[in-house]
Amino acid sequence: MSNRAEQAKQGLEIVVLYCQHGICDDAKASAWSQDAEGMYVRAVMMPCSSKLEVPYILKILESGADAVEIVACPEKSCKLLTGSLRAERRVEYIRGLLEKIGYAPERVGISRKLAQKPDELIKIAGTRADAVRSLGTNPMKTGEQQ
Amino acid sequence: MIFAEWKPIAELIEKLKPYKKVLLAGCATCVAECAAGGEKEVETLAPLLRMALQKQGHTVEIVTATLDKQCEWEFVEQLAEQAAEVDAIMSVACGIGVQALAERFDPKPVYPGVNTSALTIREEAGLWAGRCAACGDCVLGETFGYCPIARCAKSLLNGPCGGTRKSGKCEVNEDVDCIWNLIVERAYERGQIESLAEPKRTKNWSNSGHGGPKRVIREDLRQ
Repeated sequence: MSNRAEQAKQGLEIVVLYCQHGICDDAKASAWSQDAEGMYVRAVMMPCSSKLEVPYILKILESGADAVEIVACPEKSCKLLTGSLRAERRVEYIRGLLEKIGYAPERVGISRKLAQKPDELIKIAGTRADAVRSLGTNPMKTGEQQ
Repeated sequence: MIFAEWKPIAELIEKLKPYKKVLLAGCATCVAECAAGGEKEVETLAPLLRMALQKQGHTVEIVTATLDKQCEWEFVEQLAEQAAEVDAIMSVACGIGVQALAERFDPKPVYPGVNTSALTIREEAGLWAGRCAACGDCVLGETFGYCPIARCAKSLLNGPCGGTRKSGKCEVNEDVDCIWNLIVERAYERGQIESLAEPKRTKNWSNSGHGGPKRVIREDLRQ
């Protein structure tokens, strides 16, 4: 059984993309993954949430992730001033695109937090997982039709 | 720039359904500037189409390529190898690019992924506005640099229609300036308002779409 199939059996796969300025210093790491209750979390640190590009998110979903959560800084705390605002607009755009192809927009979300520890990122991923659990797994993961 | 927008995704899906392998071809010039058909848009549209097709039970492999220009044969040629390996091509370039691919790769089916609709300028990030209608008989010299053909809802050549709002906006769309209001204001600023009262020459519409398909020959450039 492939890793992905095993993950699918275990639970949802949630990808968390977080701004490096929103994580506490001692927890900074470029990428990590962790099994959590009912889900598998893959986390990737970004230099700023404004680095979020629309194709990246869609390719993550295309590759089978059940949901993507972007963790950006609160609007007034963004070190690049408008980075997190741009990220939010792109998330809205992506959600609109997903609706157009019949995918639930809830598969992509954004939160605004500062000074996060990894455990808190897992909690945020859990909230996103709860939002998509009723949708079932991403059809791209299993090759099934919805 | 030539302005284009994605066709509805449902329409694209219908076109691609019958095929096993499709090339999605972008153009890094005008349609990249208007965020419809550049590399980023190609790499956005491709996963969307794959996801939508799979959701509907169709297995279509979509490969991508973005040319510097789809309207020049030298660049079009760069697609020859990929084009030979696919069942169909979807181009997100303007109508010129689509036709170039259809001509070069005949009898391969080539479908437009965008609707080409205007010649625009980017007024600000995320806002494009029409500036030219390619009418073939430019009057900008007499209208103080504002185009009444592209920018007046009625393409009037002889002053405002009377529907200008008090705000100076067009009666058709309150977000759009009445271009004749701007022309008149600029004429006043330059002390040349009288010039607008002069009779206008008859406009020659035959140099654009009204004269049949455009064909221009420059002997000095021919081989």
